[in-house]
Amino acid sequence: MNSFHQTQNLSFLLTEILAEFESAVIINQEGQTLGLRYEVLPDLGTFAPLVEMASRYFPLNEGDLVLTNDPYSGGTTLSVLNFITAFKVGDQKFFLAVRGRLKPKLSSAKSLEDEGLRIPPTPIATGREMNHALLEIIRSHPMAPEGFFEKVTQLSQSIWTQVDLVKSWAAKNPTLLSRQNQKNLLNETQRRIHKTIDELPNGDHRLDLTFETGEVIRLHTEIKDKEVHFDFAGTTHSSRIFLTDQSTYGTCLGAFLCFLGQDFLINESAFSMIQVTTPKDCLLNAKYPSPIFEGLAEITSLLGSAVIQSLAEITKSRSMGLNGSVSTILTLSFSGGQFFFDPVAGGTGATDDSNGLDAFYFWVLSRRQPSIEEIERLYPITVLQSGIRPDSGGKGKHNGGHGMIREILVKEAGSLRWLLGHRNIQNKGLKGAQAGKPSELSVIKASGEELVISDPHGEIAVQAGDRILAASAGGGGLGKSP
Amino acid sequence: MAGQKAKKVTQLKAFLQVGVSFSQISIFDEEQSKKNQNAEPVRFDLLYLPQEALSASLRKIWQEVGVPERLIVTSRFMEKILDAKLGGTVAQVVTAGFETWPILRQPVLPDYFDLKPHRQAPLASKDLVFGLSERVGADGKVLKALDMSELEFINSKLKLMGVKRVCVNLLFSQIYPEHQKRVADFFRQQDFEVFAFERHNESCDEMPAWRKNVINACLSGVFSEHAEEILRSFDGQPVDLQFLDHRGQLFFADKNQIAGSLFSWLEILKGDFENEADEILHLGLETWTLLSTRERSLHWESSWGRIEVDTPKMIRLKTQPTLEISPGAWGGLHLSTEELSYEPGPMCFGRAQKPMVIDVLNETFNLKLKPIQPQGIRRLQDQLTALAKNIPELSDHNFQSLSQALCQQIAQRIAMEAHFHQMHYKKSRKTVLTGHLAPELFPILKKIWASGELLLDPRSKDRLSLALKNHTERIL
Repeated sequence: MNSFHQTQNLSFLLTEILAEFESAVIINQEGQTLGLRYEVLPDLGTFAPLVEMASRYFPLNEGDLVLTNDPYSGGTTLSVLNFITAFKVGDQKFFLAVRGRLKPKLSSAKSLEDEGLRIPPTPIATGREMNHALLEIIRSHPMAPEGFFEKVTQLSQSIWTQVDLVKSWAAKNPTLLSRQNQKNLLNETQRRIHKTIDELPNGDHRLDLTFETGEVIRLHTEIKDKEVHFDFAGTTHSSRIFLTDQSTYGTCLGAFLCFLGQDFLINESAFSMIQVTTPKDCLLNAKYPSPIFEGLAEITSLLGSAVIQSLAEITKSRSMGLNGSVSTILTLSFSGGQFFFDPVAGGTGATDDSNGLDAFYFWVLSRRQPSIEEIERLYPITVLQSGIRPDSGGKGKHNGGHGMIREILVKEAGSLRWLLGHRNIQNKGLKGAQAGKPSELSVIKASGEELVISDPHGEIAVQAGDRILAASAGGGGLGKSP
Repeated sequence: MAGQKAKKVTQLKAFLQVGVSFSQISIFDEEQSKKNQNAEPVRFDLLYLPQEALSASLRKIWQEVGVPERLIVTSRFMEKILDAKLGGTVAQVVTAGFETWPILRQPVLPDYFDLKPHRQAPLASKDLVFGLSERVGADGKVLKALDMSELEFINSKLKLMGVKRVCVNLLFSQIYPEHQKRVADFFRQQDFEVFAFERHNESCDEMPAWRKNVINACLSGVFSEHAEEILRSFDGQPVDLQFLDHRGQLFFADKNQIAGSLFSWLEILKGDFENEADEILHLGLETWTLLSTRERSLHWESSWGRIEVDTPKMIRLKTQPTLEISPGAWGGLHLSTEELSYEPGPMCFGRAQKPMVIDVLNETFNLKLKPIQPQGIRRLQDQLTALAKNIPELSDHNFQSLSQALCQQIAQRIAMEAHFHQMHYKKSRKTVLTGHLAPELFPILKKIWASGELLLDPRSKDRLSLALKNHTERIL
């Protein structure tokens, strides 16, 4: 077989290995990312530091497994569990890191420690022997994420299976994972990326995102001599919403790849595509113990859209109105710790030549709308309606996508938490088009009294017989209506 | 002898597999077959449907060997039209409040971040979805009773709009089927063709069930035409014509079985190997599939999303015989992700402009398929050589060595997919390789196979016919 067939098949092999997981990475012993599968944009910037951190503090031999959910150790949010293991093929060592997502709890905490249980990098298995006593201690913690033990069991088994499969494949077909073939793969990707970037014109663009609460994200995008730089100098501090610099980097890279329409397996070469500068002390370069959840839910979507807008301005191509998919998130908690997490998808922004999409999680890859029958089997609620929110997309030459409407009848007393996002910036139209309708939330009490909620986030008690009416935002339109 | 009716021969049993572009007909003598389970058919034909019309071809065969007493059919023919925009006059009656829910549950493409994501177009028109204010809860209790007067209103609208087929899609109909049954009966009495299949007890997602009703309704007309086309070949002689459903049961008129019948071939293939192997790797002319003999799945992962069909667990491989071969972003000639089809056909059939995997396999193995044309092969060789000359990384522009290298790559992809998609993971699994292209690819696969034991089915080329005969003998 020719060397380029080997290179193609290495890429295919890595895709097959990673396909078992929603997001995962394989890194070689030189610390180079060979393949990365991502579910949300911050995954792109956080996996390499995660493996670097785990392997720095733990020797990581075959069969060892390290667990963490700490956003300041390469994690994303506390509801996402990160597993890191190592395996050998011939004389080479590889690292496999995998993410498992649990239902997040809505939180407007002042500190990370109040958002949930933080698990620093912790060895949970040696020689594939799980440390059940330690896992039980974590599981029994009152702030442990729901479904912790089941997720650890399921993912650790999947990890061991995939490692076995890689090793048995490589034993019979040793050349695919050879050092030379890895080098060829990285070089080929580099060549392909340079070809794409070479086509971008020089230019720069400045954009400010100002939040209702006063914070400003200032983005200066510059393309110069085949280099792409996202500079956040001038971005303010916040006392409320934060993103780690690794998540900021991942968001910029992911949005950049989305803009380019690139669909290839991400590897080390992709990381050389862009440069991101986040000043110290700004809200995009959070330090422990700043809380993370709200920032990750809101800022990544806004930032992703902002990167696309800036690139569209510089390249004069591929514009997109702002997405209405910024947080319209509800959590209904019931006695016994049961809670229903409901991100109500908004409409996406229109583009130069197409309408936006109705009710769609634009910046999350597993875009599955949950089944009504599944929801009602699990939680004491009845969904009275679920569908497209009519006339909510911004009108224009191309219309923004409509948001979604969901009405829920509560059958047991509980509490409702919500996050409505920053309604002043989330869904503006572009080039003379209208904005999408902002998100709306109300609770109609069993007595008939209607409580219209205007705070961007908060919590209230709900009783059996109350109805919750949530409407997510529409996407912004693009261009003047004819 | 054109125009002359064929004689009926009662000891003949015929078995027909209809694919999207190929069809296999095998005829067995009942007496011989009883004596030997592995008996050879008295007649076996492989038809290339774009060139050989099914009805006329069958009629010719009956004239030569006689009309059989019974014809059992497993058909994937309806898949052919699934890519076309369907719907037309199919209406859906759904629980009120969820009229646009089927649209939001449509799969979104592409499966990576893209500026212009789009939903797969719905099978049936979104303007023909009607809400019915009834409601059943998750515990099966009626939260809102059915109002029959609403049905009268919908009925008059549907008649005004010229609708012929109605799908009844109500929440929790698997727990409390009474509402669905009453609505279905009402529309049947109004002379609509009604689609309201009985859901699986374990079903806990409404949408795969709703989609199944819609797909059955959309395929109903084509299915009837397909059955009529086969019947026409008998020139009015009475023949027991039966189709197989997804559980391998016989049916003829039940339109609720259409979607499931697309998978009947998996069930019969599984039946032939379940005592011998954990998995079956089927390398047919049209599709390449990995199939479990141990596990079942409640769903078909279709391009419209999940559809509730209980079948043996299977994976359609990414590597397919119809994948295009083109210069790749990585350099060299590569297997693209673009799937072509047998219409107009591979280059070696003399009918297309783009090379595909089956062309490369023919170049290496000389497949000796009836539609292969020498001028097609010459054009393919010229095109592969021309493509190769434009690729600086290639040192050898000889099309034979190019084809051989591509064959190795194809085999490696198949082996990798089979390896990493083990459906019943165990270290010592047994996989049987079957299908029309199995004997050719077996020697290469055997060398690189890393997933336990790989066995070649000695009857790979006509395994489906044999399995169909054996299955029918078991159930009748």
